[in-house]
Amino acid sequence: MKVKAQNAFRVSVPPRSSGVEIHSAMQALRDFQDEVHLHAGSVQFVTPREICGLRALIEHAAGVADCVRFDCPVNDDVHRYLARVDFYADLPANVDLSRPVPSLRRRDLRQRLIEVVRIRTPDDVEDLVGRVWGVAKGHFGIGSLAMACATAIAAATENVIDHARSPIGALVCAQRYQQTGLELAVVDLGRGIPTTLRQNPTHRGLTDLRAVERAIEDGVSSVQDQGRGAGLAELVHGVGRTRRSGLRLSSGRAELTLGWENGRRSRNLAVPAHPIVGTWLAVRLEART
Amino acid sequence: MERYKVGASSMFLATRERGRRMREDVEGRLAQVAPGDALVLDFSGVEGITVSFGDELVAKLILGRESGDFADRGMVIEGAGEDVRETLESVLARRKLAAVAINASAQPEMLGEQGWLRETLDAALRLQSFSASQLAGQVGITPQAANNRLRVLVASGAVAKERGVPEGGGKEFSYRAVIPAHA
Repeated sequence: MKVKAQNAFRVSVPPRSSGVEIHSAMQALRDFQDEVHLHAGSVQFVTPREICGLRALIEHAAGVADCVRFDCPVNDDVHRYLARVDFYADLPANVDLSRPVPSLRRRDLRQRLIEVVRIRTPDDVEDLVGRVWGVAKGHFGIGSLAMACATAIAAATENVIDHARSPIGALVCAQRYQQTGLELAVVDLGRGIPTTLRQNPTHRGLTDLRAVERAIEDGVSSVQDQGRGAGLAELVHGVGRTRRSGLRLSSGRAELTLGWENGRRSRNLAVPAHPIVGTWLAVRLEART
Repeated sequence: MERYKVGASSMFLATRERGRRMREDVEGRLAQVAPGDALVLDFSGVEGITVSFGDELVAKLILGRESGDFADRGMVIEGAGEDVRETLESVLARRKLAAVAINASAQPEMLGEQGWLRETLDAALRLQSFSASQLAGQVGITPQAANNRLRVLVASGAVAKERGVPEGGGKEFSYRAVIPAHA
């Protein structure tokens, strides 16, 4: 992130974002700004995680600034791709784009991607899960991979609407790649996992790292009800059922990365460079079992 | 035998809210079932469910039965595929509950089973209509232990409980196995 000595608050997105500049900007953009300028002109590649994160940043900025200027990628392919995934759809009224959004003759890519979708209600979750289930079955057949897709989307998005109190709901996006399989992301700007979990007196003293670590255990919840606390555990279980997959869960001052390959699980828990507003989830599933 | 179709074909059922709405619907249907009869929860065609959906629909119906709701009639799961069964097992185990299901071989089995429940179910199916002391004799346990097991068996939906007044006064419960094709 670069902040220049001008009236506008400026954020530069590198050619291949890892999300760091987005987290940093989210933290910095707490107070009112006249103008926020998001420079994404040099972006060359975006994954569902960064698409959702960038869109969340735009909406967050639009809420604290009079005007948001978004420099669209200069690369036509990237710009068209963002248009294709509805990144530019229904932007807040105070957001200006540097380039017109291309009018696309849409091919039916429903088997390959899920455009940016906003989830606010249980009905939204059901609609999305129904679609994901159809896409996953169509491509992968009925089996653990399709089940993992639907379970992950359902568990993650329901968790957001039940607990997060995110002002933008949950933003969801998914893309299938030939080389790396399916990637899907769920991003919200809610209270985050640590804050939510610490509402339960049992977990009040947990650090952010321990809270995120505990949150994926079955039965661990922000409420004291025996039947609750399955969502993130179910997500992890679903993703772990596939032969090769990965999961990255970031919230507050914690980032948990889990990987599975041929029955072996790897795990890394780290403090991110910048605290993460809300919760970011990214899931990668192998192309085929 | 009343039948409640849980979902249309090729469905993945998600969310606690959807489970809650469906549970209310099922409770409406259970109210129409005659005492001593059973409602079949037909999961055929449903390819997957989430834990939250299963908890809100099945586990909370069982919890209600545990508290006495519709305990005079049965409730049986049928047509659940492998993935749905796995999720239901997990849902029930988390709450330490059990539900009766008809498997692909048309045989009754317990989901979320506690070890001793299968033996008790078999005894109930042999007796068909019985008292707690008769079940105790059949299984070879104390009447108190039989009552404890019957509480779980009634909640599971396999057995209906009816209250009677014995000749000497007071209250006495009789039990009836209500699993379709096994009752």
